[in-house]
Amino acid sequence: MQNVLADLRAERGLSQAALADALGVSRQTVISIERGRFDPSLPLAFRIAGHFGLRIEDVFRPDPE
Amino acid sequence: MALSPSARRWVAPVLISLPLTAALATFVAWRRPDQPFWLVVAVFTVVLLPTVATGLKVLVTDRATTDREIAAHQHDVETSWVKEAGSTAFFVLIGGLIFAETLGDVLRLSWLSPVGLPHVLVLGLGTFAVTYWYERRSAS
Repeated sequence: MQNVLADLRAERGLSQAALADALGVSRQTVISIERGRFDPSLPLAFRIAGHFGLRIEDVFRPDPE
Repeated sequence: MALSPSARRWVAPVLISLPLTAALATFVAWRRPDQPFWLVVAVFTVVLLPTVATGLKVLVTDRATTDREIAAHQHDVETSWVKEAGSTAFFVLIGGLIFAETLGDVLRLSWLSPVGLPHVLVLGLGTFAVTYWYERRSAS
């Protein structure tokens, strides 16, 4: 799954650690999601999207086939 | 008598589902005039109540449960590594032990057939450690 988490975080001037704290997850989790190495659970995806005031599909999208 | 926090989460779903289930059971009993009315109501209420209450509990407390899970770091990438490593170790352990015992029987190797606790620990913990390291390396 692809995502624009790094772009959203950069737009708001947030560090990975600050975003991790805000989401209640580890910094490594944010790093792994941004690099596309870890697909978050649905509850966590909702929390991420909600944190930026967006819908899940605005943050995450499936890999092109 | 004070209820535990987990029991308290069941109070609202059960109280809400009780009249719902009773109403549904009454409707079923009304549709079955050949059966004893109150018996049908009682049986259907008892049978349906757990299902309806569980469904309502999921709907009512789902958000709180999710928040607690996230607060407990159950959605972190590290948790996924542990789950993956544990799952791999379990299946390698089962498969490895069956393979070792079968191979020992077939080749008649007395030292291979009997598997002891040290072998299990080495294989299980070793697989867990290697898988966790691999998952962490892949995600970083």
